[in-house]
Order: sequence, then structure tokens, then C-alpha cells
Amino acid sequence: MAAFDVRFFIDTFLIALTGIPVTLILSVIPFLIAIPLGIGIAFLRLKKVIGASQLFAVYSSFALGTPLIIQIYLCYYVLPKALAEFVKFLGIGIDIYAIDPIFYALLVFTFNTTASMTETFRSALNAVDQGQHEAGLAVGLSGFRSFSRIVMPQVFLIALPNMATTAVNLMKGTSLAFVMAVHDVMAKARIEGIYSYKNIESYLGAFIIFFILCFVTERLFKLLESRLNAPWRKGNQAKGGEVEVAL
Amino acid sequence: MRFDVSYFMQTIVRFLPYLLIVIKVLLYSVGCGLILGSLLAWAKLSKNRVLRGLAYAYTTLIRCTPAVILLLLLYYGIPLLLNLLLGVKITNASKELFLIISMALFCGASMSEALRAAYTAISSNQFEAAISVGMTDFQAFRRVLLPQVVFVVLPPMANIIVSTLKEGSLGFTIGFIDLIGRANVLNGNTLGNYLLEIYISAALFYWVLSGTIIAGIRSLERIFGKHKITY
Amino acid sequence: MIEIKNLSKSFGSHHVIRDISLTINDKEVVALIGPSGTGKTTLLRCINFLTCGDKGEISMGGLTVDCRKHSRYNLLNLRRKSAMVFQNYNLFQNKTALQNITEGLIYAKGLKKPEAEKRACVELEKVGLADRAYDYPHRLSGGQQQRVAIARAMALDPEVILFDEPTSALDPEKVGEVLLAIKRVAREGITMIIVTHELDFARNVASRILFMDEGIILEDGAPDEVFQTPKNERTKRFMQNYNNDFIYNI
Repeated sequence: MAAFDVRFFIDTFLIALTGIPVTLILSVIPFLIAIPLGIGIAFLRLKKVIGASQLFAVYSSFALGTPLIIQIYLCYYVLPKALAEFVKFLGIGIDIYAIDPIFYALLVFTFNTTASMTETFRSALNAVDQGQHEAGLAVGLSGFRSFSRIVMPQVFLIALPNMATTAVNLMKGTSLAFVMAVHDVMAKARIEGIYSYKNIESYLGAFIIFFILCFVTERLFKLLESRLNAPWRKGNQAKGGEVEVAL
Repeated sequence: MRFDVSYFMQTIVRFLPYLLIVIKVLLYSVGCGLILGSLLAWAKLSKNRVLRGLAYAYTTLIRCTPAVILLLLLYYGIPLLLNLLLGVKITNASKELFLIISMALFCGASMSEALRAAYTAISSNQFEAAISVGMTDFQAFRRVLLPQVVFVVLPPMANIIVSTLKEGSLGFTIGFIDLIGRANVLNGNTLGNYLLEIYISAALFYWVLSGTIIAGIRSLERIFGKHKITY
Repeated sequence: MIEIKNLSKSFGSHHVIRDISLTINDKEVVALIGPSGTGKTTLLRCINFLTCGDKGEISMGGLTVDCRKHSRYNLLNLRRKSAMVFQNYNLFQNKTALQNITEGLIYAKGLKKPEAEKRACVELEKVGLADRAYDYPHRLSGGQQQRVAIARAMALDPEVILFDEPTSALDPEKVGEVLLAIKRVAREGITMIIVTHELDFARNVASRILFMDEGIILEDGAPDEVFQTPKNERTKRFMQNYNNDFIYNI
């Protein structure tokens, strides 16, 4: 086996760097979309809306219980065919196959991330005492105001660590996007590696880039958490009322 | 959109042996992961700063590495390193082994966090109570702390095992023929005509497997949590 | 004036409130007492619709709301005429003591912030916690939190303040300071309905006692009447268990 080709490593590394914008798009957009969707679905399930509750429970179970790669295969290979037939059925003249694969990538990552978000917000919503909302109502606030000013700020702070994990997992998951002919960091590294049979150099470069991206993301969330954590939280609890402090 | 039900049924049968491979790989990985995770958790809780630092650094390293990259680095990197450092040439290495190693490394990192958190949540008071009753340190650990730690660590562990399962679904990238690998081969052989049937059937296997793992852990929780009210 | 007409509420097959009708006049301080789990808290919560009755009507200050058919607008208005002090204080954890009071003033009563803050300071002063205005709930003891909760209720200038077992979650030594605060509220002439286990306090502060058991009001009268000469058998048995020797010196 050949030794490590440093020159090639650096070249490949620089090429892989050009994939960062795409990787970031694939990480940020699904995450941002997943937040409101996740909150909405969490509410639906909390209120036990018949039909929707069960449907979304199945959805969560599927999205979180099957490997991302299978979801990617289904979305990238099967969905376009189904869409094309649907479009033909309706008689609309759109060329499905002309759609840039990045949309399928965004779709499947959003599908996956929303499920994580839903679980995160479900547990965060449960963790905030029902009494907080009741007190808001009793004081005369509308349901909406009570949620937006009292409950949700507390929910977000509880959800933040899990959101950080979800963000990092999403970013790692985008390393599979190369399957969908999307030119992100991984794809670019892989192309170089496969052509030249110098795999370790190219994957090492991709590794370094992903590691830095994920690490920075993690740090950003920790920073956000400490900023928001400020005065009103004692330890890691957000219970209503029963905190006895020695005078 | 055509769905050939009889072919679908056939693929389910065809995949069954590969399910066993997936389960086997998972068992080995989680087993090693538990051992690794316990060691790391112990390191994280130790008074030695270097040990703690290393354990945390390892966890961060694994946590920020995509599964596919970890696997590929191990597969290409370990033989290279062994060659460079020890002059050992590895040919025909078992792909399964590399997959298990990468899954175990991941599982160990996650486990170490869960175990550490569970231990910190239980320890102090319970330990003090146990030794004040006259138990030795070891007895206290084994009879009082450990069962409680096991109970607290079970819910996150369900998640970790399922995550490890999903991390290990990328064996095909190094050419390992597990369930997904087989699905890809089958798809190639049938020229993409049975894509939907093949991959839905594969998804179903994983779905059922992860569901079973979660249900299994829930019943373990009931057994270990006899002293507590469980949801 | 608060009127409850034919209120009923069941949880599953359990009839918690059976066809209760009640009129509470202005400035009355009503203590609702009785054995645990007999619907006292539920009755209280039905008044401001935190729990919705199965049937009946609640009227408050000219506004009548039907349990079965009501608009959100009416519900909101009803809640804006009342205020509640909870057993678990339920202070807004992410707001300071001052902000807990101004929240309702600004968003429910429509006051502007400076005026709301002024009013809040006055109320905090009345419960003796003006110096803790900028503290978050987790830094306050249970008794202090409950006093802030009382200030929060007072500041809203409601038709009625509903107290749901205000001292049940407190250590014995903190109970006194809260009872004192409640007594001061009573002196201000606000209509109050207090669900409580503190029978001495009820006897001392209330102008009217309601004894409730098994979902109905069994006894309704002035404190001395109910405590010394109860008419109902069940009340008599309840009073027999009541120890006369402990009286809080307030």
C-alpha cells in the first residue's frame, strides 16, 4: 500500500472546501423548516387531535426508526417517478426530471429532521408545568399570549440541548447526500478519491471539514444556551412553583 | 406507480437471512460499545484530569464525525497505519469487522455519556446510605447503585441502540453485504424495476427491528423499575 | 356579584359537582371548606373556566357565560374580571416578581408599561416584597412566591379573587405570612372565595362559610353558625374532627 500522499491530500482538501456552501444549505434549511413544523406537530399530538395524532406518531416512528440511507433511496429514486406519473395524470406539462436533485435532498432531510424536532418539543412541552399556562389564562391573557410570552420561552430553553444534537446529526447526515448527485463536501472528496484510488487522503480531508463544521455548530448552540440561560433558570429544572430556597 | 405485491413478499423472504447478519453485527457492536462506554464513563468521572480530558475529547470526536466517514477512514486507514507503523500488510480483511469496530466506537461514545449522566444522577446519597448501613464499597455499588443506574440509563439506551443500528446501515459503502447491501445488489440485478418493493421491504425490516428494540427496553424498564412507578 | 346557576361537572363516571347554585355578593369573603377530593377546587376552577363545567351558567359583574355554549371572547372577558391564587403559586418562571404582575396589567388590562410598573410596585409594597421586585421566582421562598402571587391577583383589580388552597404547599412557618397577606386583602373589601384546610383561618377571616361534600353544598352560613351549630349531620362529623386548640395568632 502506498504511503500518505500529502500533496494530494491538500489538493483534495481544497476541492472539498468548495462543497461547504452546499453542505451548509442542506444543513440549515431543513433545520429551520423543521422547527415550526416540529412545534406544530408536537402541539397536535399533545392535544391528542384524533387522526392527526396517530398519523404523526407513525410518521415519527418511521422517520426515526429507519436508516437515513433508505429514506434517501426512496426519496431520490422513487419519488420522482411517482411525481412524474402524477403530473402526467393531471396533464400538467412540468418535466419532473429537470428538477435539481438538491430539492429531493432538502425534502428528505426536512422529513427526517422534523421527526426529531417533534420528539424534542413533545418532551420539552411536557416538561413545562401546566400551571404556567393556567396562571397566564387566569391573569386574563389570551391562550396565544400565554403561550408565546410564558410557556414557549421556557420550552425553548429546555429543548435547546436536543436541538443542538439534532442540528449536528443533520449536518452529519448530509454526508450521505452524494448518493443524490448533490455536490457537497463529501461528494467532492469522494470523486477525487475514487478517480485516483487514494481514498484515505480524500476522506481525511472530508473528515476534517465535517469535524470542524459540527464542532463549531455544537459550540454555537452551547453559547446560545448560556446566553439565554441567564437569570431565570435554577440548575436544569423549569418546574412551576415548588422551589423552596432557604431565606 | 406499480407495486408488485408478490415480488414484495419474495423480497421479504430473501432478506431474512440478511436480517440475521444485521442483528449479529448490532449485538457485537452494542456489546463492545457497552464495555467501551463503561470504561469511558469511568474515565469521565475519575479525578484524573488527563483521563477525563481524553474521554471527553474522544466523545466529541466521534460525535462530530459522520458515520460514513468514520467507517471509510477506519477501513482505509487502519490497514495503512498498520502497514506504516508495524510493517504488517493486511489483505482480505473482514469488512464485517471494520463495520463492527466503527459501530462500537460510536456506540461507546454515546453510552459513555448516558452512563455518566445516569451515575451522577443516582450516586451520592444512595452510596452514602449504603455504606452507612455497613456495606463495603463493592457491595454498595453492586446491590444499590448498579440496579438504579441500569434503570435510569434504559430509556436513553433504547435510543442509542437504535442510533447504532442506523449508523451501521452504511456497511455497503465498504462493500459489506448486509441487508442494505443485499438490497442494492438486488436492485442492480433487476435494473431498478423493483426499486419500490425492494427498499420498502428493507425499510420495513429496520422499522420492525427498531420498534422491537424499543419495546424490549420498555419491558426491561418495567422489570427493573418495580420499585418505581413507570409510565 | 357572582352567580353560579345549576353547575354540574363529572370526570368520567365521577360526579364531582352536582347541580350547585350559589350567589356571592360583593365584598363577601367566602371560605369553601370540606373533606379532600369533594370538588371544592373543581368548583373554584369552574368559576374562571380553567375547568369547564358540563352544564350551568356563571355570571360575574353583568357578564353571563354558559358552560355548554360560549364564545372565546366572553371567556376571555370573564377571566379578565377574576383573578386566581394557586396552590403551587404558578408564578411565571421566566419573569421577575415585578414582571409577573405587569404581564397581566399590560396584556390583559391594556395598561402602558410605566403605569403598570407603578401599580405593580404598590402591590408588592402591600405584601412587603418591594425589595424583591427584580428577583426571579426561583430565588424566592414558597411563602414569598405566594405573596407575589397575591399581589399579582390584587393588581388586576378583579371582581373576585379565587384562592385555591393557598397555604397547602407551604412549610408551617411560611403559612403565617401568607395568611396575613390574605387577611389584608380581605380588609380591602374585595370579594374573595377561598378554598382552604386552615379552619381557624377560615373562621377568623371569612364572612361566610360553605361546607361542601360529595359535590353539593351542605352548609352555608356565618362562621359561628357553621362551626358551632351546624345543621347537617355530615358537617357535625367533620367539625368533631376539628381541633379547637390551635389558633393562629394573627
